[in-house]
Amino acid sequence: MPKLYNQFSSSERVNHLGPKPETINRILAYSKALSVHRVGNMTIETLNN
Amino acid sequence: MNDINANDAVLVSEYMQGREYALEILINRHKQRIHGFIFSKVLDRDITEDIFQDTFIKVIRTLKRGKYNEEGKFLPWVMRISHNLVIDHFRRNKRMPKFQSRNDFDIFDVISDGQDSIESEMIESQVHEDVRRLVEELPDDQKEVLLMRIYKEMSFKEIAEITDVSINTALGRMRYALINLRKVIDKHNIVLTK
Repeated sequence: MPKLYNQFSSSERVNHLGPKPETINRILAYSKALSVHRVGNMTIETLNN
Repeated sequence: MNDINANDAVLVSEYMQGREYALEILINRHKQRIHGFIFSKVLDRDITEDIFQDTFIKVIRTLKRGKYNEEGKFLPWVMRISHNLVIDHFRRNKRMPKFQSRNDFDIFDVISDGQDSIESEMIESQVHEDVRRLVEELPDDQKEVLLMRIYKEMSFKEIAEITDVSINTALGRMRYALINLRKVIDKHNIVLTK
């Protein structure tokens, strides 16, 4: 059974209020996948799977 | 130097040199503050997640393009990006009306199946009956014009020919018929709504 809000410790509440881990994982995955290349005056972004 | 204790400027520099772990440290260091700031503005957990993500996508793109030049001011810079995205969010919402979901939301409050319920049919019938009784109270010449115009959908030219009056007279009788109807409705506080 999931814990009620008042059953969390204060540190757990702080973490609970932060971004979801999956959001951070998506950001980090995007960062790893993104490459930026410069060709002359152009900047080209590529996303690798 | 222990990277976890490195200051923001060092971590930004590391990240710009391709060390991905530096970004993770920066995010974990500032996530509560940025997330809390966004949530305090939009007051919606899902929208906060989206804006938080979009904020760091902008951060990543700017850093990887080598366009970041605010040394030592990483957090205020990120907060400014998230603030601008919050403003964009509210601008978009102003342009696009949306349904706010509520716990007591009932889809049948806003759509109908195109058929009147028995109750609304009864109300409509009652309204028609009330209007007929009010029209009966009008002087004969006004009642005649109003019935021809509203119920028989005749033009004022046709009404004028049939009643043997000028068009202006027919228009005048119609006008007085409506004024008199309004007076009676107001006087008796009659509600004629479906």
